[in-house]
Amino acid sequence: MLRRTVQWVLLGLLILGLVVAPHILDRYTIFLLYLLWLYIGLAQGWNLLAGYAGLISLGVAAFFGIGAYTAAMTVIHLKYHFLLGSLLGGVLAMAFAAIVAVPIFRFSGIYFAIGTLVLSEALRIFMISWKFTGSADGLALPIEKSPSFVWFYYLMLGVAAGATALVVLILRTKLGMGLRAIGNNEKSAQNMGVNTFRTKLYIFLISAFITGVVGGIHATQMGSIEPYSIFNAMWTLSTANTVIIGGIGTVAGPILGSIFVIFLGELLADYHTFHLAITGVLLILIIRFIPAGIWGELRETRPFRRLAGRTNR
Amino acid sequence: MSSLHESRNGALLELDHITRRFGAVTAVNDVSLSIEEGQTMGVMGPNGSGKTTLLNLIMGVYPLDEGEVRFAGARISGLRTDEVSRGGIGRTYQIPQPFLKMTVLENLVVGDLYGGNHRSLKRARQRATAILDRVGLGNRTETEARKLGLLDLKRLELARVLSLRPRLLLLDEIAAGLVESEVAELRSLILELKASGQTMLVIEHILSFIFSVSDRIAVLNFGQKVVEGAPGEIAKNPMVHEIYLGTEKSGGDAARMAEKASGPQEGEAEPLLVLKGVNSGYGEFQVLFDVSLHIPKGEIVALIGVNGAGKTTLIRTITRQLPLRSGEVFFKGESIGGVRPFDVAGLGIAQCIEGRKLFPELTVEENLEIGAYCRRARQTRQTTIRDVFELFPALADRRWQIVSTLSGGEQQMVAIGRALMARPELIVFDELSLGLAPIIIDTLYEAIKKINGQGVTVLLVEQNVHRSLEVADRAYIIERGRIALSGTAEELVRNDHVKEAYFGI
Amino acid sequence: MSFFTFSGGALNGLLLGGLYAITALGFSMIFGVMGLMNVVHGELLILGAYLCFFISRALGIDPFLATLFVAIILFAVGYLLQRSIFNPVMDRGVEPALLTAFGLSIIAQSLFLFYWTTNSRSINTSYSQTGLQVLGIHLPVMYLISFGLSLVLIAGVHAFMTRSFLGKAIRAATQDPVTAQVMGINVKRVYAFTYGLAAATAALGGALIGMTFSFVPSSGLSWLLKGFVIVVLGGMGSIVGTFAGALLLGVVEGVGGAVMGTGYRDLIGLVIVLLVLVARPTGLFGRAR
Repeated sequence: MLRRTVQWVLLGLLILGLVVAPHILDRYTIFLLYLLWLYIGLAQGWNLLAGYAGLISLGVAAFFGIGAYTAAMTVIHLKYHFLLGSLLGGVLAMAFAAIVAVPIFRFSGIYFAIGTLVLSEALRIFMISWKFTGSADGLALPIEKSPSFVWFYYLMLGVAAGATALVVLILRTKLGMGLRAIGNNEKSAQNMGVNTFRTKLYIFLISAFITGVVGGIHATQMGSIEPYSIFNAMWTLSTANTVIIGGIGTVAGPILGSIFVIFLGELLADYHTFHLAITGVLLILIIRFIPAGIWGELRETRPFRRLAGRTNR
Repeated sequence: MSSLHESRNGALLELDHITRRFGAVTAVNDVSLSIEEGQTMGVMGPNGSGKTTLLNLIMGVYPLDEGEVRFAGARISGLRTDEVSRGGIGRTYQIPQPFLKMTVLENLVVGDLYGGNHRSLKRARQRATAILDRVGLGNRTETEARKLGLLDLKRLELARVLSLRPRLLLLDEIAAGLVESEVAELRSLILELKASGQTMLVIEHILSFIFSVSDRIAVLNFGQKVVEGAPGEIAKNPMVHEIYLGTEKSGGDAARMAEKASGPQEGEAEPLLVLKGVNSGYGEFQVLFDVSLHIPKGEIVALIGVNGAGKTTLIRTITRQLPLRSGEVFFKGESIGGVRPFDVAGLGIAQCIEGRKLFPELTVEENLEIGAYCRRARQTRQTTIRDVFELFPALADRRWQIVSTLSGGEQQMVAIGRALMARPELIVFDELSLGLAPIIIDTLYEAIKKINGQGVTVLLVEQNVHRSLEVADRAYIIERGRIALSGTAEELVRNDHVKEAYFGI
Repeated sequence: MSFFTFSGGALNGLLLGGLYAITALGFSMIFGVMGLMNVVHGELLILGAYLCFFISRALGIDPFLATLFVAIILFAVGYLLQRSIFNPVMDRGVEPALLTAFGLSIIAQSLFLFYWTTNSRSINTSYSQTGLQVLGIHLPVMYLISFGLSLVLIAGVHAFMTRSFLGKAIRAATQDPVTAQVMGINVKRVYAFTYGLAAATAALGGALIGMTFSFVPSSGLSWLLKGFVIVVLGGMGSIVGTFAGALLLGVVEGVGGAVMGTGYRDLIGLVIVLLVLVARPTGLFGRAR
């Protein structure tokens, strides 16, 4: 039982540290941490689909952007509070997911991936021209209404933690079992009675919601948004990157991956373009040599297994 | 659970004159069968006899063309597969497909929750643990499925289907791929199930297995039920022997026999292909055990065995599509263990693959041309094509046709021709006669004799004992991955032990 | 909308379709032969454009002449890519290869950015910005040249695939890679060759893009997606189908652009492809892969 106590104490210290951080660290580091929570949020959402159900979605930017624009529009035009706006962002992203799910789930494997990419790009092009949402100029939120940056730190931390908790929770339920079954062998899962369409739909909706909320918060944090950067495929790529490097199909993978990517970004801050290139190289190397990602490989090694007490295999 | 009174004779499952066609092929032809509650019915028959189709018809995978299937008195033909499943019939799959990255327990829990429509994970776990104990996996519940050996995978497969509490259990070649000791363990498990009152339909190739677990056995051939009876009767039935071993061609081929008698005696001809102590298999599953054989140059050597005995695995090992676990393969005196699969053709070994495997969208001529891809054959390919058309005049008329439009016999001719295009020293024929009418098989075997007459060594892999012994110089009988018997064709023709070795009795 | 505008849009679109066909050919070949969705194809096109731009300038030669050199360079690049990076992951299913291609795409875009900045480039010659007046419709010379070249290229590749021994071997490897190996075909090497060939066609495609339009490091994505649309419309792996799909896309975009304005032009193709895939998840003419 000593192990459990130590675990809880460590967890408590961590929480304490995270909560206190913004009051003792400098602005830049707080911003970095904010970005970390953002990445973790996106990563957990993507991992739910790709890591457990085996559905590689390349449309993260679409849901992120919808969340961002919904939040911005409701804050600007309906005078909603930014929290409500962000939540609505998640809701609208979820609604969009519901609409496209029916057709898009008919695509199998590789078509699903490219289909979501096409969707994302189509949305981007559309938003660039759509006058209702400010077309290429984008939207600007009223500055007076915006809270201090620390609030966004806590908000994004909450989202990251919430998303992680949600994933853990789902995995413990019937939905989680069905999800993993589909990821292992969709045909077998169907034979066992899993309603694959419905299961994939639920996860798709949840993933879209998380992504949308993250987008909403980020939009209100930035204060102004425009379609080129908000609907940019880079959001998709970096999310996928983060999860694959960290360890696809695990709960800790997205977290580790996000930490790694942010850290790498800082290390190569002066060489911005190389940072991207190196991420690409890493992605290729990891897929080829350690496809389970950093965490995936780490947890199969002996010392880790003994730590976790899983040596009866 | 159900107290439904069965109709007339109390049978749980009744197949009433069922027929199913696929295009021009009648896969199942007017088959009638009935299984009483608590009984175990075995179904056997050579490859292509319709056994798996029968299973699929019961499960509603295909609709019936004629006849009816009744379960517990109620008509089930026409229901969907998941409806049949929920109605109380469970089937196992030949190749277990568990959720590899999930634990044994979780594998069952999925089926319990979704198939059985339950919600509580905790109770699902309890139920699953109970069944796993029953099949002997009680101490491996937390093991990931991908770490299981074949026997345990089969146990898991059995557990999976048992968790749905079927009244009738359909076992589809469940003992396939297992070694002797594992078959014995599986057998006792099945017998335990039987003792607990489970009704079963067992499809099996391993004849000793099916004989020991069944109350009654039905034998299928070409889609028809040929005979039904107690295992003892079936084992002694000459008609059954004929089906598996093939008929002797009336009069035999005197000229061929004489030719063989006067031909090179054992030891005179140098061996073209030699296998020494070969062990190989797929991943964790070993299929070949210590196989040794040698094929003298210029001869026709037959490799005979039932389905699943390891014939195709042996071919794949020889042609380097499978790695060698241990042992050696020598071709023309040199070890070819390290040769890459696409270099084999260039060495002089060509294959006529099981199922033909022609390039479906290429023409006859293009298929033949590709056969001459390797360097030794490429330059002279136009001449070789002409030789092939001489051997098979029917193909010459069809050279521009896309191969998928040809008949089965014609396709087999293209396959043989394609193998010849590589100007090989050794051709391996894998199950040449599968699915073809006897008259076509005659034509093909004539062609093989001609090919051999021109100096090409032949390795003939077949199920049909008599046909192959007629044309071969020597033969090897392979049974469950081991060479059970070998000798010249004449010796084996006179040998009664062939049947034993073949049936594994 | 007048018939005039309509036919102008349609005709221009048709000719532009020729250019589209050349840019999509490589993508179609790789997907047809290996089943690999080569998402770095856009970057190969842009690389071709950059190389053509710099080589023609450095050597003072016409871009088309420079393209010959670029084609050789890209063939080598493609061959090596497939051999050392893609071949090892091909056995593991479709996703690892797709994601690997993504990694390459990221690397390529960063390198473009680093070496050649975000400045928009275009390859200009004396004729590249001119046009002809035919029946009152303005037809850019580059559109005409591209269309002509596309006919030649498509016919050439088609002839290669159907008449040459290597072409037949490639088709055999496409239909049944395992059996092809039995025949003595080194399938991995065939894949490498195919990728090299596809990259070489991208050299021409890139040159045409550079001469007809302008490009920046991130231009690749939209060309990739166009290629995807064309493959879905025209049938995977079918050379003639790719041509037909490209022309179709060109016409639809041309007419649609005339109706709805150029802002939404690129959108048309994407929406159409989504609709087509919904109706037929394996493409308009494609067989299930």
